[in-house]
Amino acid sequence: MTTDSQTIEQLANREYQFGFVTDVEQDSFPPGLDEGVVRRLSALKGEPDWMTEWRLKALRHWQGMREPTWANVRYSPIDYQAISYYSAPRSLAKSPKSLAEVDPELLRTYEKLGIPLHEREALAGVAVDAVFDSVSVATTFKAKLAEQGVLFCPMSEAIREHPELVRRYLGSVVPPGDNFFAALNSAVFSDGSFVFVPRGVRCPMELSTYFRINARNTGQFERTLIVAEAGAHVSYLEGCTAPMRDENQLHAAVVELVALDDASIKYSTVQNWYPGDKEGRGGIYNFVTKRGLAKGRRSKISWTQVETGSAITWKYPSCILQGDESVGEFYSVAVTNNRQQADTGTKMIHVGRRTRSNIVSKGISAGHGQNTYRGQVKILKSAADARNFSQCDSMLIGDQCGAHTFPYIDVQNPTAQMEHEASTSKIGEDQIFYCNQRGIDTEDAVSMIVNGFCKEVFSKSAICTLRSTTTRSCTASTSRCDPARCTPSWAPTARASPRSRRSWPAGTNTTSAPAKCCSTAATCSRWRPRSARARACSSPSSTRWRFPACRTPTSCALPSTPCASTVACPSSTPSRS
Amino acid sequence: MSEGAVSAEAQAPAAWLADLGEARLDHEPESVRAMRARGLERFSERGFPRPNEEDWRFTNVAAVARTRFLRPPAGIDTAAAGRALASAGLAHCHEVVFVDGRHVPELSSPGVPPAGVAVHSLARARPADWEAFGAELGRRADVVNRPFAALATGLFEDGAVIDFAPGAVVETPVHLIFWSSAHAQPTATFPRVLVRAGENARATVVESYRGAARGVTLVCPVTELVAEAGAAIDHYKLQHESLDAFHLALFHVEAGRGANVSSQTFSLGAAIARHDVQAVLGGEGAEVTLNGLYLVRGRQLADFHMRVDHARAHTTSHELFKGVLDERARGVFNGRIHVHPQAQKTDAKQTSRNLLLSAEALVNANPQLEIFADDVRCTHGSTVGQLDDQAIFYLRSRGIGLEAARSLLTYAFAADIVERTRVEPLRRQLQEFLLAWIPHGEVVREAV
Repeated sequence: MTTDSQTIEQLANREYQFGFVTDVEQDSFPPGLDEGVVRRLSALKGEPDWMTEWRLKALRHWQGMREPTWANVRYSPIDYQAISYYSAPRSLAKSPKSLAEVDPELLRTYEKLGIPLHEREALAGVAVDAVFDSVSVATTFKAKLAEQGVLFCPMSEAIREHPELVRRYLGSVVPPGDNFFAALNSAVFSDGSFVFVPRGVRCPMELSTYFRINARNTGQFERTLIVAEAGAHVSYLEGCTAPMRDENQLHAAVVELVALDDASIKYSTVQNWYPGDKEGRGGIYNFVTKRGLAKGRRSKISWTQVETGSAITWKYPSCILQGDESVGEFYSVAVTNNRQQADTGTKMIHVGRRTRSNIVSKGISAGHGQNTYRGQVKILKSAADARNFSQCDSMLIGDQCGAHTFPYIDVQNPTAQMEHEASTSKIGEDQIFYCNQRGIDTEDAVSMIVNGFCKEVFSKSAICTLRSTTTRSCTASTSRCDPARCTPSWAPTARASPRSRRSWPAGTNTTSAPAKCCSTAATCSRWRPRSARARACSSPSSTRWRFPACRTPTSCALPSTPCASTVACPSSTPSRS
Repeated sequence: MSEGAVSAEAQAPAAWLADLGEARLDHEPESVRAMRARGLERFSERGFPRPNEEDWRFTNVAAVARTRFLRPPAGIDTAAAGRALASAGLAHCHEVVFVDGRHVPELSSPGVPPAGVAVHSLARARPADWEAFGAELGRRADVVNRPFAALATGLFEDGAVIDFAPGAVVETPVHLIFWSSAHAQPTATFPRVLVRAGENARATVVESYRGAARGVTLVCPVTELVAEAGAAIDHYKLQHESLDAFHLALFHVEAGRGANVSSQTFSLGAAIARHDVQAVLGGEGAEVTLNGLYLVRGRQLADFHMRVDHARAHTTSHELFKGVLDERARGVFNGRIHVHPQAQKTDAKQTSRNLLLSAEALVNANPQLEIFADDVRCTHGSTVGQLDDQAIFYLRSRGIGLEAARSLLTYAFAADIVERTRVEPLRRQLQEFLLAWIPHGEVVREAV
């Protein structure tokens, strides 16, 4: 057991990798919030009057609200007047027309984070909107998406250029007065992404937004709105990081999804905000409202989240299953380490007939982390033959952490079938012993067990690096990317475009492209480790893996689901190697 | 009843309390008087629970707050109560009967209790008796967070203290019957029970709360059960009050080192039945089993609020609750398992299953886990639904009619708990009730 705890301790002590600060000149509002600030923000964004009014209404509502205290998290009170509600790099004030005009320092930041903003260099199949503090730096592939009629742009641009769409859907799922943080966000949101997929269009590429907090004393309040018209399909991924600071910073976002008849929206999150240090100093307060409205018949909304960062997470991505036969899904892995606290889960509100929902939540607590699953399944009278399955499992690593489960189940229709299961366990000494006995060292064993624990969520995700983010955060440096699980059936298969072939010439093996090794392994359908000690995602050592049937660049060295490289590949480089 | 009126009453329960007067027993020591004062003070301070409180979200007790309850009249019609209780008795049990909250020796089993058992009525307790149990009474029941337990602590008039001697093996179950007769005015009683099982004692206790078919009564029992090291106690509680009654109970069980407590609650009557159950596994190796069954119809509400505290290592708890709901009945299940930091190797299991027979029935289930130790195995499961179509189809394909098939499956669902009852006469009584309760029970009677 001593070895186990030592290894786990070492791993728990790992530093946050994205904690650097970008040194750019910033324009920030002075701290404080009143009508003047909201008007100034709205004017700065060149918003129409209705938008300003909408914000002011939300602000007035917020001023009359009290901060919720029911969540199972503890933090010292937030002084909302000490936060600056707008901060943007000065170089972006002139709104650059193309990437060439963007401050190279900003581009370097995203390069460091592994976010491809140069379209020609970017991997095919993913469009990125990069948000830096309060503003969007760049959005790639806009033109290509526009060919299909897909709108993908920063929210502020959407308000200016597509006011009719924004006005119709903004606040339709999360009303401005929904809750304390949603009201605050409605008043001061600065940017975010707007996605509109017209009738019958399958969005040709993955959409992705990358949020970065950089400035001190600011909060980030972004607003995302995704609308999928009848028969449309879109898959969206968000990622986020922030510098290491001793102070706490507030991130209060609102995400709204609307799916009409037969539409489907898949929303994935890799949340890796700065979690604070070992003593719990600093870190982001992540108070987010996310809700999807499955409005049309047979529509589908799927949330996948991997929550590894943030000092405090308060987040309940929900689905309102209004259309008959609509489907809601929630797959979550939440990891709390050191002094992190997470209170997260989902709400599934069944309104339509034959609606189905599926909840799989995996919580991992280590160090002094406190992890809470809080969920509600509500089956209304109208929801005949509704079906729900919930599973929430917790894993505890170390004896100072806690895992809590609070599922609320309200069933008002007897034809509904609902099942809820929960379990809590630790990594058993016997399991570790079994692995050790078979020549797998403790670290690998822990990694393997954690992977197995989370496999139901990972298997739903396009992002094989979700896995590495998780294992890295909680237990082991190594993460085995099981390729079969990295390429789910719904994910757009990697296209062997000439361009990507050029950038990955034959003979390029994973060693020369460490950051991409993860995706590389992901495309190989047949593979096996040469030894149990080999590490799939650990860059140089991954050459030790043998990919029997995929030596050719088209099948092996090809970048796969690009989102993997977008967000997580930097993180998949283990610090141990 | 408007919300405003409720809160007004809730803020000023003084008038409501005044109707019930004060309670004071002969020879009651100073410490008990102080405990009563604390209970009443706490209740007056917080008032009636409101639906905006997390613990009372689904159970609205406004009807209790707006009804004026009186103490039952002093004279007891022993003969009438005896007739009513004729069918309630259990064969081969030592019975202790309380009518309208007061001990009636004439109706209780004659003679001394079985060897190893001491039974005291609180109202008849002498100073020497109080010396023996005065300090224990009310020591564990949580009056801070349980408003009706606070109320009952302030107002109890009688009750039973049962002591099982260390090492005693008591074959004869002790059966406490609390009978509420029908009165013209709504009446309130506050039965109080303390069960102490000495080291390695083995015994069975049955609590029956029964009432006339109709009549508004408020029954707020507080039961404390302490099982010392190695004791094994079987506890049964049957709630079969009048359909207009309010039954708001607290059951507190504490299991010491290696003790084993098994408790089964059957909630069949009452308009609102609320069972707060608190189990503390306070010694290593303690094991607690809490099972429950509720059968509700009409506008009945059955509410189970469970809290299991694993305070020591190597403790085990099992909970299985089943509910059958018909017509416009409502069921609430709130189960919380709290594993304290030092309670390593805890094994906790909690299951809540609910069967809805009608479209208007409603279930609110909220199983919760709070875990602060790392080496534990905790699971909970909750299901709500109708009868399984496939099972019905299977029976029909074998020539059993639809109604009969449904009845058989409903019976099987509920009988799972009933059959765990180890007190034979009680089990038979429950089976009879179940057969009479489920639709088309006569079909099942032929089959089982």
